[in-house]
Order: sequence, then C-alpha cells, then structure tokens
Amino acid sequence: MIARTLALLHRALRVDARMLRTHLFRAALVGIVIFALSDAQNSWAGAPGLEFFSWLQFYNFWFITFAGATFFPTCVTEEKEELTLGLLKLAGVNPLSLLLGKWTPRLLGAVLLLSVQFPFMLLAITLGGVLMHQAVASYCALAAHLLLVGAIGLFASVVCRKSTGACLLAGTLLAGLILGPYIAIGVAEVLANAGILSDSTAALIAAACGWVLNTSAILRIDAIMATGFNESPLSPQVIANLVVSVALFAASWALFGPCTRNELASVAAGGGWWSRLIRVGRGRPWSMAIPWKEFSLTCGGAPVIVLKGVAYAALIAAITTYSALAMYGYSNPDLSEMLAAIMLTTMLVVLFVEAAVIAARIYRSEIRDQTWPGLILLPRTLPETAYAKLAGSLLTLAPATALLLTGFIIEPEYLEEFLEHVIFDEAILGFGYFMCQIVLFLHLTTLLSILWTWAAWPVSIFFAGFIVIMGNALVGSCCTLSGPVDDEAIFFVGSVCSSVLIVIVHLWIGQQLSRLAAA
Amino acid sequence: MSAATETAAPPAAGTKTDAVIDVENVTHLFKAHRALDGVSFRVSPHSLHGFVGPNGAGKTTSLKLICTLLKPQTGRIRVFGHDVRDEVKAIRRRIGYMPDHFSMYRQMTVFEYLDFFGAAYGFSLKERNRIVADVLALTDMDGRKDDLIQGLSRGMQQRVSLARVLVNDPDLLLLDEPASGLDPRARIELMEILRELKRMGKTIFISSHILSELAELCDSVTIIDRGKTKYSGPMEHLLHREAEHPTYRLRLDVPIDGFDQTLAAMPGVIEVVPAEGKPEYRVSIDATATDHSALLRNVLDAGASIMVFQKDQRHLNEAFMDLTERGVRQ
Repeated sequence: MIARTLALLHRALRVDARMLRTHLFRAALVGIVIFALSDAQNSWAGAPGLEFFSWLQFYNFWFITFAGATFFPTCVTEEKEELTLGLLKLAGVNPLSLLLGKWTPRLLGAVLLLSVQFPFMLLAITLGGVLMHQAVASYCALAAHLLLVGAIGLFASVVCRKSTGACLLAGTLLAGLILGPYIAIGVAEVLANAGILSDSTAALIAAACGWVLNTSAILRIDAIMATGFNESPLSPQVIANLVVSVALFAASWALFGPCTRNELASVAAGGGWWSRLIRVGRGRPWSMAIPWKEFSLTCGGAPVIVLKGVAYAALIAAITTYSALAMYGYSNPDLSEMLAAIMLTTMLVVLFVEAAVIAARIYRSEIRDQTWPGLILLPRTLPETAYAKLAGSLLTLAPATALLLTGFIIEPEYLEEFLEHVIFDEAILGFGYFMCQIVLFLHLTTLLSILWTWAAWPVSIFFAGFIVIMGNALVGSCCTLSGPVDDEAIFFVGSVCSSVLIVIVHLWIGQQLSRLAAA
Repeated sequence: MSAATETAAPPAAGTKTDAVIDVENVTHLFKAHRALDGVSFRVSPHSLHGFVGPNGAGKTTSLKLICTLLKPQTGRIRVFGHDVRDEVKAIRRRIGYMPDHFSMYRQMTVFEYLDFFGAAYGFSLKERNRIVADVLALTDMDGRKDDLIQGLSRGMQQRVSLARVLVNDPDLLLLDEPASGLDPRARIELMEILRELKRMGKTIFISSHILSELAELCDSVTIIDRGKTKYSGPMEHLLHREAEHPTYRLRLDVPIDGFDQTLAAMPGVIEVVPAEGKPEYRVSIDATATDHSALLRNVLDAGASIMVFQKDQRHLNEAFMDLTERGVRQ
C-alpha cells in the first residue's frame, strides 16, 4: 500500500514541480508579502515586527480558507470527471492509497506555497514585537486550519460527482464554520428577546457556538498576537481541528466506495435530476437560437428562474423577519422601508455573485465540452456569437433584477437619494471607479476561466477577486507614499487606467476564444 | 516508386476555376512545429474526395484551415472561390464540418439539438420542421429523435453529428475521421449515407484511416505526409498507375508443377509471383511487348485450365505505404 501511495505522491510532486504556474504563484505570493512590507513601513510605530507578522498570519488564514475551498475539493472529482478512477482501481490502488496519494500532494503543495514567506517570518521576529513561541503557536494554529480545510475539501471531493459541486459544498461548509456561530448567536438572541425562544435555550446555543468559535483559527491568531501571550501551541483549536480533520478523512475513506461506484454512468448521466429539471417547459428554440440555448441549457431556463425567485423572496423574508425582531422593543421600525432596504442590499449582493458565476461559466463549459467550434462555425462573427451567449446568460438575472426594482418601487426615496448623492454629486467619480473595478473583475474572471481549464470555475472567481483587490491595495499604497492627493483625481485616473485594462482584457478574451475554437 | 516523384507533379483533381476547394502552397506553423509545408490540392464539385495521411500528417490542420477555424499563415485557400481569410461568412453558409471528436449538447434530445442548429442558421419554425425531419430520415434517426444525446451509443451520436452538419443543406461536407471508433455495421451504414449524399450532389471531403472503404467510395484522393502533399488526383490514376507494367491475377483449376517457370518464360512476362499453398500467380507483363489477350492465349496453349484471370488492381494501402514514410513524425 505504501509503495502505491508513494508512487501517486511522487508523480503528483513531480508534475507540480514541472508546472510553471506553481512557481508563478509562489513568486506572486512573495510579491504580495514584499508589497505588504513596504506598505507597513510607513505606519510602523511601537512593534513593527508584530504588526507585520499579524498582517502576514491573517493573510495566510484567508488565503488558506479561500484558496483551499477550490484547491482541495478537486483532488478526487478530477479523476471522476476524467473517468480515470476505475483505471486506478484496476491497477490495484486501494481507496486509502488513492485518498492519501491524491490529497497529501495538495497538502504538501499548499505548505510549500506558503513556505516562501519563511524568511519574512524571521524578519518579523528580528524587527521586534513578536516572540519565537508566538510564531510557533500561530503556525501550529494555521497548520491545523490547513488540515481542516483540506479534510473538508477531500470530503466534498469524495461525496460530489463534479468539481463544481465539490467546491460549492466545501465553500458552504467553511462559510458555515466561520460565519455560522455568529449568525446562530444573533438569531437565538433575537428570538429570545421576542419571547419565541427561552433564555436557557438561547444561552445553550450561545455556549455551543462559543465552543465552535474557540476552534476557529482566526480568533486563535488574534489571541496569539496579543501582548503577553504565553500559552502552549497545542491549544483547543489545534486539537479540535485535528480531531475533525481525522474524522472527515475517515468519513471520506468510508464513503469512497459507495460514492465512486458506477463512475462511468454517474458522469455520463450529467446529473440526472438537473437534466430532468431544466427540460421542464423548455419549448422550441427562439429565432435568437444562441440566447435560447444559453438560457435554457446553461442557466437552467424557466424552472430555475422560478426556483431562484422563490429562494430570493424567502431569503429577503427571513432577513426582514430577523431584523424586525431584532429591532422590536428598541424602536418602532417602518417595515416597508426596512423591507425595501433589505431587498436592495440583498439583491445587489446576489446580482454581483450571479454575474461572477455567469462570467466564470459562460465560455468555459463550451470549451470544456468541445462544443465551441460548432458555434463558431455558424455564419456569424465571433463577437456576434460571444455577445449572443452573454445576452442569453443575462436573462438568468431576471429574478434578482425584478426584486431589486420592486425594492425601488416600495421605497422610491432610495432611488432619488441614489441619483442625488451618487449620480449628480461629486461621488460620481468614486462610483465610476467602483463600477470599473466590478467590470474589470468580471472580465478577469472570464479570462481566467478560459485560460485555466485545469481548475474548477470557482478558482477563476477567487483569483480575479484577489488580483483586483491586491491591485487596488497597491494603488492605495502608492497614493499614500506619494503624499496628499486629491481623491477625485485618484478616482479619475484610476477609472481611466481600469478602462484601458478592461479593453485589453476584453480583446484578450476574444483572441483566446478564437484560438480555442481551433484548438 | 519514390515519394519525391509523386510530389513533383501532383495531378489536379479539379481545374483551378471550378474547384470547390483550392489549396495553394499553404504552410502553417504551430510555434516551431511545421504542421503544413507547402500543401497544394484541389477538389472538384460533386466529388467524394478522400484525404489520407499518417497520424500527425496535418490532416486536421488542413480541415480546420478549409473550414475557417484557422487562418493560413502563408499560401492561399479558396472554398467556392471565396478566400478563407476574409470571406468567412460566405464560406460558413455553404459548408458543414464534422470534427473528429463528438461535440454535442448532451442534455438536449436529438430533435432539440437539430432544431437548435436550424434556428441558429436562421430557418423559420416551418422550415425547421421539414429540415429536421429530412435529416433525421436521411440518417435513419427518426425513431430516436426524442432520446437524450447523452444516452445514445457512439455510432448513434456519430449519426446525430452528421445530421447536424446537414441541417443547413451545405454544398460541401468536411468530415474528419467520421468512421473512427465505429463498429463494422455502423461504418458500412455511414458509408451508405455518404454515397446517398454524393448522389444528392454534395461535395464530400473526407479524412479517414480506413483505406479500403475510401478506395471504394472516393473519386479522388489526396495523400499527405509530414505536412507535404504526396499525391493528389483521381483514385483511378493512383490505383492503375503501373500502366506500363500491368499485373494480372491468374488462378488455375488444377495445379501444374513448375508452372511459374513456364509463365516466366512466356514472351513479355517480366515477373511472376506465386501464391503460397494454391495454384495462383501474380503475373506482371511489359505492355509494350505483349497484352493480356496474348498472355491468356499463351497460358491456354500451355495446357492450363483457368479458374480466374483478372487485372490485379493496386490497393490504396500499397499506394499509401509507398508514398508515406516510415516512423512517427518528430
């Protein structure tokens, strides 16, 4: 068994070492750390080492969490999608060897990726403010967190048939783990205040959530960075994370057999319930055939639109009920105003998320399924085909857009305020800059989704967001270094530069789509 | 016969003015790799033209250039007189390209898939009903029109792919390895469909490895190897090119000892190859010194009882092996 596990591990490490992208990622991470160092240099006060080290560890935490949610869940699903799992089984590789062989290299890869910052950790200690045992404790906390994220990813990878589903499951579990306790405490408190829940039950929920929060690496790092920290590196967080990781690995091992049986049939079926759902009321193609195809097939068509409308309405109703109960007794809230405000903010977030998902999937699925050349050979130009697909995809935003407009109809004052303060005021430049960043992010998502066909599409969303956020941080840092600058001038120049970048990325996408049609 | 000799003067399969496909001295590079190196050939209207070559010879690249997915770097390609560089839409309206891999929307039914492409080509609902029914009938898929594509066998998917190519009633069909991976029955049925399409007046340009079927099916052929054209012209010309030294297959009813030596001694005979284990001979003659009637007369005069006497055609396999080089392209 060990020989087979080592063979898989050896192969994975060799492949990883040969690939240019892993080295580019390392270089990018070092670049970010150096940028943070130069940025922090300006604001250093009493404990520069601690300040820099804190930044480094929080950045590590979020990087592990976000990147891990897309990096680990593909370790088994990629074999399922390539239909190679059966071959590995035929070669006598048992489930444990396979899990270890596929999972351990990714774990090691993540450690190696983060190891490039080791010299900077030494620099932080040299700068002062942080002690060696604080560094050791924080790296123990992060290692346990990495193991937990990896185990969640592995579990999702075993349970789900496709990489997309695995990434979504892992992301949901991680979000639940990090945000869930806060939400549960808040809801319990509100329900207790409203008399729906007894005080003892609310206290019990709060205690349970408090225990879960104690196992969170982010709170542990916060505690480690406090002055006078002198605890053992083997904290309850580390132990809890390790125990949950082992349990998840054991569950993955136990479920591996049942979940990977009928590999060929399960992948070829392409998701039975989804296939049946999207065929409900599909009808004949419209005269605008490509938008019809995009709307009916890729976006799910009318059944998915109805489901989304119901789900969003339920979400708004739940948040409004929670807010009303939370405010009950403190003030007398205007319910229609509250509903409109919640509708607007929730739907803006939903629209942003949906737009990102569309951007990541719009061309990628055609390229992956090799259907792109068939569309390109229709007697129309590449832009005509590409924009027709976009038009069909945008129809899927109808439920969120309708609810957003309903929010404005319920409370027209919000629209007036928006027009008055944003469009007709000096804030227009800031708003323009913000919109440029959104458009740039969506363009980058599309570009990365077709360039990085080796990764699941959520990876392109994560990295596009990362690039835009870091780019803005870099601009902000440069502005701070150059002394006092007029905000309007920054927004204006930033918008122009972003627009140029958008045009470049836009043309690049076109060039890639043309190239991939003939690949 | 050396490959170099063949390349020196490839006979034209269509004249320059009426050719459906006119490829002229095309070179195409993928980074440092020269996929095509001065390729030239022509395809006549309403013909079934075979496109043959070893793996990596440049067949798929040529097809992608012809169907406008790629743009030629040097040289010129005209399809129906339109240049592939700048008359893309005009060409795409008149062609149907079937790639070597299946590229279908597997969550659609057969009818939906064909209906979608009908709509994408701009046909009205009424026209689409007629067109889809026609192509389903032609490909013998009307009984499976409500089946999901993902549930069809490979042969059936191949038929759907061919049906899709026919939706816009193209004048030129470009088929890249349409019979690869099909079982013998599916292959024979596919060849029947191609014959029917040819009868309907379509020009078919087919790349395939199944040489026996191509030899039977095609009017003309282009053989390509390592990015260079080795032969382009009528199939007849390729298979009967030993006009000066024709070969005949002779089979006797009753074996005669030493009859190969008797044959070799006959006037005009230049080579006799006996078959193993049966009274059969391949006899090559010098056409300038004798002919098949004289040979037959001499055989009868030698007291032989003949069961079979026929011209021995050179097979496409042999021509292919003669014209292409051994080994894998680097």
